[in-house]
Amino acid sequence: MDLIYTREQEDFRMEVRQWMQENVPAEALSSFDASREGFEAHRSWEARLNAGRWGMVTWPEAYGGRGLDLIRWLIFEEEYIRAGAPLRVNQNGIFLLGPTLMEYGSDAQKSRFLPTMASGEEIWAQAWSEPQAGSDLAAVRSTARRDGDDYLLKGHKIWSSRAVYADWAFGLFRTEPDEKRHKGLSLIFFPLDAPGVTVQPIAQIDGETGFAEIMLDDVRVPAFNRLGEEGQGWSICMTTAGFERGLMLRSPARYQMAAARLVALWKRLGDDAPQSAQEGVLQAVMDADAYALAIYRTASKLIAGGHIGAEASTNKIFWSTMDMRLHRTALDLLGPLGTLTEAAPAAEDGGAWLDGYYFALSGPIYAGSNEIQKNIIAERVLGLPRA
Amino acid sequence: MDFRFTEEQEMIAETLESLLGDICSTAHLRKMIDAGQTYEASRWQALAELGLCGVLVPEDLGGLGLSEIEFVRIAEICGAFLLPEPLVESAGVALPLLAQICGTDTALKDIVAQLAVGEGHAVLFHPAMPLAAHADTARFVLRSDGKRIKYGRPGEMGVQAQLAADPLTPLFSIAVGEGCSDSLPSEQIEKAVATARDRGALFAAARMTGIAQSALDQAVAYAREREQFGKPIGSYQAVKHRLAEVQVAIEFVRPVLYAAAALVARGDDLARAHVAHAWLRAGETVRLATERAVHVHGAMGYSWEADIHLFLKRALVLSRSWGSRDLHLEHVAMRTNRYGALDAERLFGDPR
Repeated sequence: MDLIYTREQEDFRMEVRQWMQENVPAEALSSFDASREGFEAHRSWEARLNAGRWGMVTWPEAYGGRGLDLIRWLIFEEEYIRAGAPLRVNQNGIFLLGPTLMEYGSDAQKSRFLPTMASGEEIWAQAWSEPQAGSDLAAVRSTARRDGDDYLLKGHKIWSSRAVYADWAFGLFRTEPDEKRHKGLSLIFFPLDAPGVTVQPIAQIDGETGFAEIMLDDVRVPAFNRLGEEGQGWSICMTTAGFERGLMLRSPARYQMAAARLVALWKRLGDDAPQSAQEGVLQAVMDADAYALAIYRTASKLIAGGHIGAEASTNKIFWSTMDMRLHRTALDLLGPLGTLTEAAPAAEDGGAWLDGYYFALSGPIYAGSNEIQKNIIAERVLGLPRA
Repeated sequence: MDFRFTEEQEMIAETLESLLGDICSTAHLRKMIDAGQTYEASRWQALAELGLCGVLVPEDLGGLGLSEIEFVRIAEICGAFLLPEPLVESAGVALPLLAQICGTDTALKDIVAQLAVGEGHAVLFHPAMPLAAHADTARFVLRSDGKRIKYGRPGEMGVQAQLAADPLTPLFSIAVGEGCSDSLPSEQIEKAVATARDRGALFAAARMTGIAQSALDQAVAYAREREQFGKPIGSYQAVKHRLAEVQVAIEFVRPVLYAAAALVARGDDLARAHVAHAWLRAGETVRLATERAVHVHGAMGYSWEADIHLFLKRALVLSRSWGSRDLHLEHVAMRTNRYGALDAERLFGDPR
């Protein structure tokens, strides 16, 4: 066990730090879920990142990456977040679909979709859930009917993150209508501006339209847009979910930064901070440390050839719980001031803690609810019998 | 940067695991309890033959000269099997301290060499550890007020038997005894005592982690077998989710524990804060694991017959050893005040 960064890793950190200092916009971009302008500003940032070959450092060079390992990915993320760089508008693409494409896609599919994903020219939304298929994802009813070299997509998707302004979506469709549950499903991509697609924005708890409903009425896409074999959709989807719950989507630096901000708030409040909140602040620091250490350990195992299995579910429960606890502590520290929105003159940190609390509240729901994760852990890790 | 144990480190752990599987099952422990015993000489001998009594003693003093990274796994496994003998207390804490302070005293060096091959054991009393296990049978008792050290035989030091919750952990208090005084410069002694204290808390955390895993394993085994309403109780979500939560907690103790061991091993300034974190997290986790395991066993869990209470009781004793929540939270607070939480470089200590 060797917990010291190598010289090369330190040099890499400095290189990222310098680039970020020179390139991160001085003023925060407006939210990509609130307006087309905010969305496009984030797309431009993705293009800038890509021009510096910082879009996805773990990807092969051929697809716009640097072919670096996961430890460097974690270092990159630490510097990215330290610099206060914008949130990744294409996270559904680069963190979820991208790695899945790398594993299951044909060369032609990789060349077609990965470079434009890395550059932000095509921003991706996910289209998994349906009105009757939430936690019970295998209950999806949307169909893809084969018609020559094409599929005709029909159905109703919901809670699709980024779908309001994104260019493409990926989703699960029933390619064999007679098969039940996990069988006969395929993962298929479709352009959100294709004829027959209707996107209906849904206002979130904070009033922004971060997700949408998608109605598909005989939307024609080439069979080329199917990832993997026909009927292989469920197992591919579980791979994607592994990336989502695992270490890609929620890198530790995000929570270390949140904990650092919480500590700063606590210090700033000084004697005005309620005594009882101190333990919450220390807990947030410890939780962020524990998560970072766990992810570095997982990264070491993956680099040595291991696989991420059901531990993705443990990670998801941990980060979502930690995020809730951290933001609750911040609101407790602030008392009545914590309830002020960003527009309020007396709001601390621009109302960010309230926003953060709302977002944290979604953590135990998205990427597979925590109750489903606990079932997965109980059955696949602990070996408890299925109901 | 590589957060994995080496093959050699894994091998030591596997060897110990298989040994204790053979000679330290709960059936063995039950026999000891029935016979009123808390120590088995043959088991101690088996551990000594593996060299485990002198893991942290330098080679020139007759030990293996390994580090806390090796010992943290050893302590975790000792925890998991509820080892009654004082291997962690002696080889993990008291003996390495003695090795650090023996200086040029040849009589002390001889004692270190003998203890390193398992000819008896040593124990340490400290303000964070006012009740030490197996002090009456110790070859050597050390007592520190956090600064200086006195040492001697149990009789000279005035150890007094107490009766602890755990039937296999005989605890002793210590009166102001006679004994000899240390002879090295006070700065050196103080530093050695501080390291011993860190090791005490670190290895207590490791043992708690092992116990948490065993308690979970027992609860899972029971939940798979025990049927109610015509199905195993482990098929119900109320039970599943409670046990899954324990699994999550355990998964996030280990990285903290192992990182703390690595920092103690290289004498990093941040070691104490990470040890404190490991102690707090392991304590919280073992409480969750043992309480839930008792409850998953239902009324059986409240019986003397089910083994789970042995794990609960060992956890009760260990989670109140080597410091308090307040003390360890204070160490975390000190790190928090000195460094920002995003100082990722500082997460792994100071690169020297």
